[in-house]
Amino acid sequence: MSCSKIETMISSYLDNELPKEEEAFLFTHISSCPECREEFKKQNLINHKIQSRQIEVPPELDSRIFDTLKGRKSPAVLPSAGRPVLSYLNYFLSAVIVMLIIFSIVQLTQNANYQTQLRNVETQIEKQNKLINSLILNPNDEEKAPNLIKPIIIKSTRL
Amino acid sequence: MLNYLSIEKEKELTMQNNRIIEFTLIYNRHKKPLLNYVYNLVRSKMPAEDIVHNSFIKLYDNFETIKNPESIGAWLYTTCRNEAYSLFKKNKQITEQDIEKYEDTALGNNLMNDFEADELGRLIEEELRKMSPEQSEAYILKVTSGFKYSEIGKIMGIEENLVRSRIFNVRQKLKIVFKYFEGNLK
Repeated sequence: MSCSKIETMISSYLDNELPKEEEAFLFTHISSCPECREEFKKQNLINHKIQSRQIEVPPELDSRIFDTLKGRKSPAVLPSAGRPVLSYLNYFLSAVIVMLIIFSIVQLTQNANYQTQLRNVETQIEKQNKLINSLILNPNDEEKAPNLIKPIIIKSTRL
Repeated sequence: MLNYLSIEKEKELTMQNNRIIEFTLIYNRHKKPLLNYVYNLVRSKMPAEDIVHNSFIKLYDNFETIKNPESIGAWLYTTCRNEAYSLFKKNKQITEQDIEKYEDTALGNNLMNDFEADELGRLIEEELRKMSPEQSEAYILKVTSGFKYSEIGKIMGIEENLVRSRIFNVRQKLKIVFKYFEGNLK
């Protein structure tokens, strides 16, 4: 394998992207090739230098970020975000119960109206029955009830 | 009812506390590599700190929308990158002037500070600054954050192989510092 290919492998190795099975090959080559060994040393040193020269985060930035957060309302407190599903379920069930109660009250009121109407109808029927009975008892007394329909009287005849 | 409300309030407070704890863990993990990445992009401390600050605040505000916790790192770097590039667009002229100015001073410093303890590190930084952000970004991301090539590709919107070759090219260019370094020592 050419040394230029080894340079690519060195770069991948330093980036932790070289497959494990290729590492043995890389190091075998490096141990026998002085140029590639030098290349490895240089690249490793550059990596190390860059990492060691990283700037530190100033404490002012820490406090600036957390001070900004203090003055902010967490999105979790907003009604649209982070509310547990159970909470919504509770609201839904409460709404259903309220609707059922309203429906029952409407039904009960209507039922009471029907009962009153039924009682009125029964009273009327009772009155009419009494009138009919009184007419049956005096079939010739048509003058007392001129507007009433003459009840049908079936007379039984014996042969 | 009051009891129910207090339980709800308590839940909200617990959630808020958990969020702050989670945020702090993420912040401590990413703050340094993120600041270094942005600093290497914008090449100035104050704007770099502003960008990092804004990105972390955005993260806090959008915590719920980032469903996959593993993608938070990539999200942060992408947000910082976008902010840095919009800053470039705004201050293009100023940045270019600054870079030129910096390069001039850096070249002058080469001769003056030959025997500084960390001369090699300084030379590497200067060499990196001479490159355009497009050239050096993948390398800086790799060295500062330790992301995989695939993750860097996602952040930068390029193919994984292109990430690999860009990093390799930067490494090859950086080797020039050894020539300066060895020449200065002689």
